[in-house]
Amino acid sequence: MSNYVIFTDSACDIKPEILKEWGVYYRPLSLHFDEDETLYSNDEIEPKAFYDKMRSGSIAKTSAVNSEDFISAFEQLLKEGNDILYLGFSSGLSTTYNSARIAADELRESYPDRKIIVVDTLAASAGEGLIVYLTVKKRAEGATLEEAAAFAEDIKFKISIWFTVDDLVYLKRGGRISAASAFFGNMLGIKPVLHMDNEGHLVAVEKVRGRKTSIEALAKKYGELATDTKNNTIFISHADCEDEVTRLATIFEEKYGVKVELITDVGPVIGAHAGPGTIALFFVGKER
Amino acid sequence: MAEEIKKTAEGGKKTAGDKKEEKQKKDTKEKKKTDKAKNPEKAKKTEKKTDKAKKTEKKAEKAKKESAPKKKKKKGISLKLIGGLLLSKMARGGAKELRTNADEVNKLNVFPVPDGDTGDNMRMTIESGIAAIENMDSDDLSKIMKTFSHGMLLGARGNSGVIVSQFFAGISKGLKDKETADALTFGHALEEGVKQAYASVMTPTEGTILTVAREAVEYAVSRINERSTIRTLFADLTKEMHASVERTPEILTVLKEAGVVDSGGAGLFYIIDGFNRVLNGEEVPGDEPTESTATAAKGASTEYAFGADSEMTFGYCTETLLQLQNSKCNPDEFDVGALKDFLGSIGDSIVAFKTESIVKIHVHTFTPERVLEYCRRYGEFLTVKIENMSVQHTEGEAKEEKEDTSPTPSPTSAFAPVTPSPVAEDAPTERKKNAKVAVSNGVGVDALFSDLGVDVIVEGGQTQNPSAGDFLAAFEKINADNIFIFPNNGNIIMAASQAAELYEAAKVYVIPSKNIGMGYVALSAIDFDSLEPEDILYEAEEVMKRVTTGYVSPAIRDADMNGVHITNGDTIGIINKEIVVSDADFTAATHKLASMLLSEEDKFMLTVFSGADATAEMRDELSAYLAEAHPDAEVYFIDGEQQIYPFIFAAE
Repeated sequence: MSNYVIFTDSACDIKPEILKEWGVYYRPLSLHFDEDETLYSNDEIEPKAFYDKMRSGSIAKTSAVNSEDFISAFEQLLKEGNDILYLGFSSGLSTTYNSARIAADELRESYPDRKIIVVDTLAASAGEGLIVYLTVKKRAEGATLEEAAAFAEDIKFKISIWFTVDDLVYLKRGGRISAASAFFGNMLGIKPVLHMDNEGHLVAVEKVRGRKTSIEALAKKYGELATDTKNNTIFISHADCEDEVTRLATIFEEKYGVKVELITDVGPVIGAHAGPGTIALFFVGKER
Repeated sequence: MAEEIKKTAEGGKKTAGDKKEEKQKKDTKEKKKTDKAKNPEKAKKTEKKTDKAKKTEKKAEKAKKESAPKKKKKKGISLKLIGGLLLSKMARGGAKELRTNADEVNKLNVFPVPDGDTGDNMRMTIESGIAAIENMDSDDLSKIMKTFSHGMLLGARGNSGVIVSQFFAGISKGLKDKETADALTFGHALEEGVKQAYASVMTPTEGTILTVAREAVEYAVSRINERSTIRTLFADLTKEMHASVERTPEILTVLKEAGVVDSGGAGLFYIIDGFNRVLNGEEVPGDEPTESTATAAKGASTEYAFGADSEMTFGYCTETLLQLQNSKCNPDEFDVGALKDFLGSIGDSIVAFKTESIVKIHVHTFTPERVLEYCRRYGEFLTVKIENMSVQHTEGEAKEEKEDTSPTPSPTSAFAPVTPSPVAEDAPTERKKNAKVAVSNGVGVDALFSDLGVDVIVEGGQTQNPSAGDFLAAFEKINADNIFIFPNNGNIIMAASQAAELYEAAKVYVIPSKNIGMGYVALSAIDFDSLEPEDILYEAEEVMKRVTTGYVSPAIRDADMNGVHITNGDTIGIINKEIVVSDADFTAATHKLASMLLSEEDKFMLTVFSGADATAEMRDELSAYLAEAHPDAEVYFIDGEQQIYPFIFAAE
């Protein structure tokens, strides 16, 4: 058994108890609402309550994990004699990864015998979670720290990330999306299908008419891009729309004979930018 | 109508005077040619290929020329041969006859809804042809026919208008280089016309204007013999056309159910009947009032809102058709850009485009005399219209729009000074890749379309079909490699296609959107900026395939259609040209139609266009109903403010 720890952050949208099961450590991002200053960590707000709050008009502001936070968490592990493989939230969307990188640089000086490798997954939500999951499996197969890191660096460009949002207003408000204004003209009845590119940015790819069509479009992307449609690891995350996700999972079973490995909530930090009604699909493809 | 048609046909047959004509100038070679023509195919070949035939033709022409002066003295009409002067007289007769009966043709609407417009469309189409030949005094048959049919092509509105313009374009092709024609030559040209009319329709439907044209021409040509004259040809044509129109309900069940004959066929009959009446000596007043002069006359009798002390605030709406003259310039090299620059220096709302050697000009200016002065350096005017817009401004908006349908190719949107278009009228500067033109009816839909990136909106709809010329004027405002047209009405697609073929400065693609629902859905879902034309066409087809559009409309007569009993005054629901619901209660009919659409397979989304006649209460009521009856459906409301239909539904 290798003596290294896989570490991530709460933007991976994998529930704490599952991460614990996988033996993965994490630090939470945090958020507060406009109307009060209380800082909540991503893992302590119940998603359903959070989205209801958003629907009623509350605006949440999110904060990255800072380097101090990483330093104290990493240091603890280093002291215990562990090396660290950090798999972090896309640098295209947050400074969390950069904080981890700074923390690692600092700690390498104090702990020259220990190894810390940081990987920018260029992914978010359960896409980041899927990279963590597959790396955990790799470690279970006996991969060394370096091998596991190399694996993560490679696999991150093969995790295909597709999602749809119910209302683009959240992504636009958070400045997390850029596209020509003509693309977004009159969005009445239009649902965008979005993609996360190789730089970890969000891009609007297609406009489709109606929610149902946009959800089906996700399944279609799977059919087009998955390396193996019958044997794949599919993660889905959603922002308070379990029924629709259940239907989407049925499409995978009926159309491709594949079972969705994990369905999880889009946590409040990601949800604050994507908005209620977001459905995101992650699977292994030839490329993103 | 049947009654009237019958009378006419018989009249045509009986009218004498033929015999005298027949006896005249029996050129033996001419006769030979006619005999040969008993085998039309062979005759055609011979005509084309052998010198002998050419000689024959020349002789025929010579004979005609020689006989022409004699005719004039006798104040008769050569009926062995037809020349340009006679044709233009006949054409005016055709237009007059159709004008007289246009309303009746409008009423031959399959649906008992107040949107029939075939008569108006065909009338405007032929009047555009008449305007084109108005000041021509050539007796060259091919020249007159070419100009006449070209004018029709430009003015063509509605499917029947397009078909009839293509019919005449085919005839014109058949008469190419023929200064005159006898019955046989004209008969062959008619066959060309039928061929071209059929070719203009992607999937020709029998029991329509096409059948009427074909059957009548087949019959009339089959009866041509050596004694045939233009008069007998048209008598046969008219007679069979009447009979064919009467048979249309036997072929098309929808006509039978509605208790009408085919409107396009009837319109064509009136045109040909008008031609025939001229041959039978019926007078066509020399100065036939075209719509624009009629308007002017009307204006004269009303009181002007512009008096001795009024201030000139709006300038003059100045329109002219300029015939470029070889003696003054080289028409092929005429610089429309320079003309536009000049017009821009003295006014705005500029439209200027050239079709062959004719330039159509529209400008709002305080100095119309300068337009005339400038233009005369290059040619002479075919028509000139100068209207004080201060007067126009005081007249009702609706009235203005209605009356501005001048017979020349007039882009309605640009020509109605009181209807501000939400799309910038400024001349386009930077060339873009893909531009969009959409037909819209209703300020709400206009606004929606400009929001969706439509470059030029052409006003029009079910009762106001834009002409091919209107589309050309819209194209002129665009600087793009590709132009996509959304006709948004099944009856406008052909005129749009015709314009697409006539336009050369950009590649024009017609997206066959048959209704506003289809057009809206395609416009909203397609990313025009990044896609290639082929992909756009493919995506449009894909997305439009999923749309079913339903209309809520008032019924204007009793009817039994499709197993649905309709009482005058009911509210009816129409899906895919079929009446599916009729109910005395507006709310009940609307609910039923919406539910039917949402019950179709794979339909989960409903976009509701509320019309000018839909009140806020009606909307709220419908919204509440849909939320309760179809909780899973995605429903979106759009303030379309369209005419006629209180609600239009697009279900996806």
